[in-house]
Amino acid sequence: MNRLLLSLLALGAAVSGLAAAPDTSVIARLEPKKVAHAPASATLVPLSENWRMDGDIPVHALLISLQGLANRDQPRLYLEYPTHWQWEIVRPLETFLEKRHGVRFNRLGVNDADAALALYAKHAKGVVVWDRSVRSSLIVAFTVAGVEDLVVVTEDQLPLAAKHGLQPVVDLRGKFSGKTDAQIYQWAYDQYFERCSRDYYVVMGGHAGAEMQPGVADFGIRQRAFFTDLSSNPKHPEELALLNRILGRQNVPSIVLGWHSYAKDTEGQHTTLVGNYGLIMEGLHNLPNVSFTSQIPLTPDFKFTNNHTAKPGDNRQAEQKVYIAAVATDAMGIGTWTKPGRGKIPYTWQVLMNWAWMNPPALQYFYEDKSPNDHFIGGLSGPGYMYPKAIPADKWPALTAVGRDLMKRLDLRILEIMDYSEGNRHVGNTDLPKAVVDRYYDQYPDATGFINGYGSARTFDLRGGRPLLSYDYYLSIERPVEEAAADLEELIQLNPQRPYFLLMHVRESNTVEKVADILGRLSESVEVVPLDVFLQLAAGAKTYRTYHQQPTDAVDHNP
Amino acid sequence: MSRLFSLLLALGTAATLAAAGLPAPTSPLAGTWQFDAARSTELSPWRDYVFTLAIDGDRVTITRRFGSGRRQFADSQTVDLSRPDNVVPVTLWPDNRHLGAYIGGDRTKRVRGEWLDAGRILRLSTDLVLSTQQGDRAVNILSDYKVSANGTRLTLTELRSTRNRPVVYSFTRAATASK
Repeated sequence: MNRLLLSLLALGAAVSGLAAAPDTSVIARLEPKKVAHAPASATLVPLSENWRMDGDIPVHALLISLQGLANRDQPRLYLEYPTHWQWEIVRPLETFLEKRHGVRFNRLGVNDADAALALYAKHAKGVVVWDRSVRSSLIVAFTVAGVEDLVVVTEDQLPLAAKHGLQPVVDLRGKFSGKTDAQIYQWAYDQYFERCSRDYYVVMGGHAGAEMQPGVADFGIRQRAFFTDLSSNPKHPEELALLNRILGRQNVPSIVLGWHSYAKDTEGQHTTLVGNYGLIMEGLHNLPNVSFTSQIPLTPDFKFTNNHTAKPGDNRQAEQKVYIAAVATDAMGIGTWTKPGRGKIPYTWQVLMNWAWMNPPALQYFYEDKSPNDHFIGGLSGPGYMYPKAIPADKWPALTAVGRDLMKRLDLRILEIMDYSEGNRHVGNTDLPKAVVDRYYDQYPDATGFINGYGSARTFDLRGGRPLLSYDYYLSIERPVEEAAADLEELIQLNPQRPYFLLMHVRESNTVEKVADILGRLSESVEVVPLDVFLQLAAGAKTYRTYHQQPTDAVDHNP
Repeated sequence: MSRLFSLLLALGTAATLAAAGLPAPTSPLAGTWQFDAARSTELSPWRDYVFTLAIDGDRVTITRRFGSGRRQFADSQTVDLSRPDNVVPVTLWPDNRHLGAYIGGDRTKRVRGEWLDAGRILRLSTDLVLSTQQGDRAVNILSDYKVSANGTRLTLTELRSTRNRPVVYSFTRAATASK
């Protein structure tokens, strides 16, 4: 072997090693410190169903802010969200913490702020008073609460606070009357941003107007995050300018918690903007109790173990038939994990990978509760929810290093990609140009395959036995089983070659039972297989055309 | 020419026109039609579907508008019923966006049409190519636009060569602004 060849081999190994090396430094910077083990006891406060600004939001905001402060150095206070909360595993997780982590919950009364303050007011230095006539003042109050260690109250709650020795430190009453959100958050920026975390920013959006569901605020307060519901919509240039300034000041990569405001901008606009800065979005504004669970380690006897049906090197050959794999995205926590049918058919669940360090008990719950038919994959597009086309190439390596590390920790071999920066299920395109596909293949060398889309998409590739397949079908929550079965049969007609690989994306609110019902109605013969088997078969029988996004493809920027 | 003969001639002409599928001078299909979800095949991902059917001699123009919140898509086709083939450019195939099937081939559709039942029914036959993961696939769509006896309801039945189940959309006549 000549020297040049040896040099090239060494260089190749170095590049490969670089790409595959885990980078724990980012996670170490972001990760809340863990306690040695879950607390033997903790306080539990049930919350009511009313989340209206003119209803129970004041008491909920008080309790959530108190929770963020009480849980600063140890997990002490857990809030039991109501039955219809979007995050469906509040109660299963509670039971799991009791049984598996040995936590004994001392239950207080519903919305019992008095009793909670009696126990935990000592963790606060006073109160910040928000203005009930200005909704955004509550969002500013969350920032102030984290920075100044204050409980969030209305003027009606001042006597209650005083009873527990908490006096007003910051008073927002009347301060924002007649001001725009851009002006309000600019004031907050000028007053508090320098003292806020550069690793956490909270978009306290989602529900807007008469309702607010600030479930993630406890964690934001614990982390001393800056809160806004600023718009990423170009229709709001002043808000967008301030938002750009904020995101541009955050560490790269760092965490954007919460969700865009339903009243101001779109998911596509928000996620695109966050991606432009190379930040990591954890997109659920009502994700509860993370100030509590983020500090609890996995039990010592537990290891993340996935159900792998396909093994590397398997000599699995596709037959002349139709193969179907079903995947649910966003479905762990806000989907149908606890609903009927799970375990009935092979089914794939996209894992929110950052929970490995941000919410370990939740992931341990899902991994231990899985059936033999439940398979896990990483996503969405990387560590967190991100649109790859929106992320500048120079910001990829830091993100993919985290993604690789988390996939390894979580025993995940397949990565799901989604990009709605130039379209959605209705218009535009959801495809990946070759340069982006190249980056996935290069920077996730251990992934055995990739899937793409949310709605259907047309990006397909196969390199080194690792397929990238897009969804051929999107199962809408509205779609009746008869029409969905007809849709699948139509796809089978439209794709006459065998084997045909039909990848089906299941909107998270559809139950596994519904999917099984649809598949059971097909007049065509199909085999439903686990996703890893599906990709392994597709690697050996390329009946799909290689396709990447074309310059002529329609673009729609999610107005 | 006696009046009886004139009447018979007129009736005979009308019958001949109808039997031959020739256009009636006016058709109750003309107008703007609003989707009726309760009586229709499920429409997702679209929520709204409005179309206008305009007649100008042999030329029928159908302008469709699909919507779902902020997402909108509109297209238009003019079909000359006297011609055996009308080539219509296609930018997007909106009929079923759940499927991994996209306008393919030369991004056109070829449409021919005829009137039936004295202008109460418009039948279009559309040939287009859909692009899928396995390549291009020729598809034919038979579309019957059929108006109710009282002229207030329109049923669009679409038979796609690749679909085992018909698509049936029901529409009501959109209210016109009164003077």
